[in-house]
Amino acid sequence: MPENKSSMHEFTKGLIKENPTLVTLLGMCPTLAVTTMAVNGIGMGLATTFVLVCSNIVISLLKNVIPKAVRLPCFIVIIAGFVTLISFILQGYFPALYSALGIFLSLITVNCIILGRAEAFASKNKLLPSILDGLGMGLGFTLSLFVMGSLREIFGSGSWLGFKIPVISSNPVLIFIMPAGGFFVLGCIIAMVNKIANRKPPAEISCSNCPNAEMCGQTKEDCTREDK
Amino acid sequence: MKNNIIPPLVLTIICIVVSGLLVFAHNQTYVDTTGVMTDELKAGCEDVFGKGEYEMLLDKNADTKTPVTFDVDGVVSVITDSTKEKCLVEIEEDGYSKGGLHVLIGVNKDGAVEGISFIECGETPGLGTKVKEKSFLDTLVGFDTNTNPDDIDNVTSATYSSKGMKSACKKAVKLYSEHKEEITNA
Repeated sequence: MPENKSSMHEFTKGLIKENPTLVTLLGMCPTLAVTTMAVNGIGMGLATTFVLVCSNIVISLLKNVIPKAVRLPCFIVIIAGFVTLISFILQGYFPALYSALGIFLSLITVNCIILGRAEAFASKNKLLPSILDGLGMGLGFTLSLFVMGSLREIFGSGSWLGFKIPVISSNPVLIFIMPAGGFFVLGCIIAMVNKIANRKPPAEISCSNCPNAEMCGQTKEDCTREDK
Repeated sequence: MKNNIIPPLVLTIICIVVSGLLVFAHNQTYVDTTGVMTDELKAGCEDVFGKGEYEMLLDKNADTKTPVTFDVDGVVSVITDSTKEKCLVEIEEDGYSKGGLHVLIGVNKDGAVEGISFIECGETPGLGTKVKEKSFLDTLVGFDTNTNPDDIDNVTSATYSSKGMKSACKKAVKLYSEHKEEITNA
């Protein structure tokens, strides 16, 4: 029973509590760039989830084989392999989504969420928790991209998932689909999530408020050292 | 010694395995559509001119299927129907992103644009993709060699994409007027 509970925790933590985009602020580049439409957010999110789960599986299985000295290049090669694979699949079967995601599809390789989870979780944990962690983090990323894409599409284009929204569609607020609008919407969503979670800014810099504390091996002294 | 050999060896093996798998995946998913009337192209042609028998002009001297492009930059292929009165030019034109506008431009026998169909649009979603809207495409109908592109308004927030579309139309009508005989006698 406790095993189930912790497995569930590995899955759910990525959705809200440790949401990669809204809490740990990883993967900002695709978040801001592809969320002009809700459907692109879902596409990018699911593509990232696929790569995240696959790379977590392989890295978790190979964790005892990969020497520590070359672990990062190995992780990147494995991740890049899966990214190339998904770009072949999208190009072959979903060309419209492939062209909409454009350069950001290849950039999944260097998406810090994937490398971050590989380094911080999959390389230290067993197969099942790694799969659940990848799935949870990926879906959390998809969810935040979808929410952000929806808001930007509704206000910026006056439509949602292709449906025109009366009133707004005749006078859309263009700034929402411009880069500046991306920052604005992201800021608002993060502020809202912080308000709901009742998260307050830390009185002093410490590990207690840091969402990365669990996976970070450093001590508080290391983290706040000035000569860093 | 062990520390110097094993890490690079493991990395090399991983690289070889991943590359091998990718070669396999590429061979499984890649289909060469050069010089082939794909379903997308057919649907695009029918979208512009209605139902009919469409065929792509191919270079008769080449061994493989090579589409005729009349050496115009950006032109991918030229398509005609069985009556040879309708001509469609497949163009990849730069919008805001390089090669972001992949369109089929239908040119009628008078050398004017009859209609435009999108094969692919890689422009910024919500901004550049506005050139796909009917209201803008309708302004390009009737575009011929005498039309001044500056007389047609660009779409707000899609200026580069609009300019790309007008440039593509200009190329298509110019190509048709210069090579009309070759196209109709093909």
